Amino acid sequence: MSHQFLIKIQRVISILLFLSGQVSVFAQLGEDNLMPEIEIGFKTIATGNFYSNKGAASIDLPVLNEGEQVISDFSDSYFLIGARQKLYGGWRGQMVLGISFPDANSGLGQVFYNQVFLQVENQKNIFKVGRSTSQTTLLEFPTLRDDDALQYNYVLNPFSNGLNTEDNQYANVLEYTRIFGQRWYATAHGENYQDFENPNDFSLNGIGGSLVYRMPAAQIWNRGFLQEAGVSYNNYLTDRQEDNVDEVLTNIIGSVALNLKPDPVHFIDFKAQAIQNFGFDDIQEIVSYGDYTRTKSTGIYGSLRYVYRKLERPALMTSLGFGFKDFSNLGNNTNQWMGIASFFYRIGNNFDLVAQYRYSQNNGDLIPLLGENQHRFQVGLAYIFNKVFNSQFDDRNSILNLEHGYLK
Amino acid sequence: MKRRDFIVTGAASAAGLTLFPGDLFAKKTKQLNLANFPQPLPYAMDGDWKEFELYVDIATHEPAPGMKYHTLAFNGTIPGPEIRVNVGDKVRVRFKNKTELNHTIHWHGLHVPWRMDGVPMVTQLPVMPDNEFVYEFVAEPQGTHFYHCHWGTLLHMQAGMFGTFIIENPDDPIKKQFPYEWEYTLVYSAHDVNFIRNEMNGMLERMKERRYLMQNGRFDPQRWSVFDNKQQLEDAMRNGYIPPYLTNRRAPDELPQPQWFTVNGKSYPSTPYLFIKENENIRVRLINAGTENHHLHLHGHDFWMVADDGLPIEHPWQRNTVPLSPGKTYDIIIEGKNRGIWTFHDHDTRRVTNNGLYPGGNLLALVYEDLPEDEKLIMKYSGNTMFKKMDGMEGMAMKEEKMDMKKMMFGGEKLPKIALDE
Repeated sequence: MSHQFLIKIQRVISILLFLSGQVSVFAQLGEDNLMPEIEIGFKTIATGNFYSNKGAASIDLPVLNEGEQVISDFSDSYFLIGARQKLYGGWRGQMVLGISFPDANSGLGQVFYNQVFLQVENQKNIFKVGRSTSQTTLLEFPTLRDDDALQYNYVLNPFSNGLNTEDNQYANVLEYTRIFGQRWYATAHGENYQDFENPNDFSLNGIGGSLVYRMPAAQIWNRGFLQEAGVSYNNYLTDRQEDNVDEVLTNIIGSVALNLKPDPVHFIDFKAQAIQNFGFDDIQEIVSYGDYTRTKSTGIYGSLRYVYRKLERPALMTSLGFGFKDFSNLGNNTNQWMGIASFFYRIGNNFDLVAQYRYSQNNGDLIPLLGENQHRFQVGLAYIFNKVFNSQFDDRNSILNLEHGYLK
Repeated sequence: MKRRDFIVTGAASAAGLTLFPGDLFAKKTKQLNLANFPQPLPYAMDGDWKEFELYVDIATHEPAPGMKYHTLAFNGTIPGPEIRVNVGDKVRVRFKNKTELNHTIHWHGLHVPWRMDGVPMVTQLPVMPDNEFVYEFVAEPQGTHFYHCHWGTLLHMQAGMFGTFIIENPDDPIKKQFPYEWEYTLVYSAHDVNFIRNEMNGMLERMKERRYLMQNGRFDPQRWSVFDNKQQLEDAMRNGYIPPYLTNRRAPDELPQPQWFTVNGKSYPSTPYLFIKENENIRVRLINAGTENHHLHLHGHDFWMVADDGLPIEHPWQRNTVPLSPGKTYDIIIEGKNRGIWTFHDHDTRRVTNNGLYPGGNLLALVYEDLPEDEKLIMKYSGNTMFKKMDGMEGMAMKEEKMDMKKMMFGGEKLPKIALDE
């Protein structure tokens, strides 16, 4: 994709973003308040973490400090509130406001507004504008926290300074998704990713598209071997100033989720995702975190999960994950890998006892930046709740809508 | 309704039919109106048995124009088709379950053999997906009855699984006392469409899981929450089983709060009309297949209470409001003694609403089909002062202007009209 073409698209999307802001003026004209559906969701995860690190990391993250330490960690907890209502013509409109609690010393403050968006949709189309989850991964992996294997299962934000994970997970987005045959999701998207060097720059700096096949969760017990598969193509519009250097950082993602044993009692699935970051060829050594995200890399992450469901409720889940990332433009046999074992035991509805062990190893040029290796053991509790109040209409992917005719 | 009319209209679909008052007195309207009553279920004779075929499947239902929701429907209609036999007939009903849920049929008010009563785990096992159950019994006692699903009754009944069962007495004392040519059946119900949607989705998901296990021979009583006796339940609880009522394992937020109130599956303005002529009697069979009490009031008339739960009342009495509690049936005779268009509605007006808005729900009308044309004119009988002033005005220009304004506000010059926002 040429840079000029991307710039044109960037301008079009910027105009659309401007117009979307003007639409809110109508809200001031006054109408009877319609009581919408209200959705409340939260996850509170609190763990005690034990770290044992070898090698001094230059990146300023306390949890990478050499030696051993124990901390109390409630990061990745979040609170979401949303409202949804029917629009004219069978469309639905939705707003979501969400806050999450980032890691200490992340530079994001005590709370981070990770979701502030509006969405309109009908059976086949979804438009989304605002701050939300970015298209930097195609799958959710069964780790304690979403960012536990971030270096492997997310495309890393090349504008980030590496002090927080939210830079990679969330962005100001403008997305359009078209759904084909209930299971094929084609998405075009543009983003403004947080740029630590220009924190007040809110212009578009990411653009891409994806095609995902996804079996609706409601049909979990009659689905076949393939649970989900997708490809994604992403471009970051960087502001590199040097002459004769490429400014667009491109990567592709491929993912697959397979039901190895789609059994209601003993369920086993396997998920894998590969990320090819084409990188900038001129970055052949790692001096900063930016070099780490902008040099050529090939990452892969896979996870094998077992779920035991007792009497139609999940009772126990355990998973093993492994990630590997290679940097072919760097010398010194530079690569990194990670092994992670997670355990969830349900002690009440929505309430889990959790534990996780993770080992990560950095080799070659990565050692000065990230340290050599780390053992991390976590144990704690998680409470996850999600509920729709004042329910008024069905979801696109309910069994009734999927199998007995979609109702607007 | 006469039997021959049942046959004529038997193939008509009740789905999507909406009557507009502009056509109210047309011959075609009366004919179409028949489709808003339970349709007769044909039968085949097998020796001296009358054999009926019933099935249940998931359907999309439209109680009022534009409002649709997923339902469970006998033979594709809500209410299900009407079974009408004579007292003493031998009845065989082949019931096929085309859904992924469990069902039974209970014959409400009938004196069937106990194993035919349709109560799951008491008189029979549920009729499971793609399975069939054959009910056999002798039709008795006479009168107005109904049938409904007795599995997951709270959900399945308000989702649409009910139908009328009329047992005629060829020597009917009511007809002797109050001769009539036309009769109508009105089945009342109430629906929390959000409860229906959420519970149906949840049940369908669970049943997919259960069927997966059944097909692999790994289903057990605890998973179904079915036990042979209390001791077995308590033993299971000691071994870690948690009854669904003890935790919020799958409980909805609260008990259903109906927002839609139907007569024969329809809400105003799609409810049926009761046509009558001056000086004739009509019989109206009232059935409450829902969960709410309905205090049905007829304007301008006192009607005769002639049957209670199907049983003829030896000394009928008159009233203008009848409380129809859940599971109850009453037969009433309306005498055509006061011509006009008279509303017949629940006087608990919370049930005269659609999704909380009045008017709607079970509002319907008794219509004298031989009403003189001039009586329908607003001008002729209006006590509205605006109309009177206009009548007294001088100058045609002013008069026409007023006429235009009224037409803009209220449409044509005749009654009745459909009002949807009062």
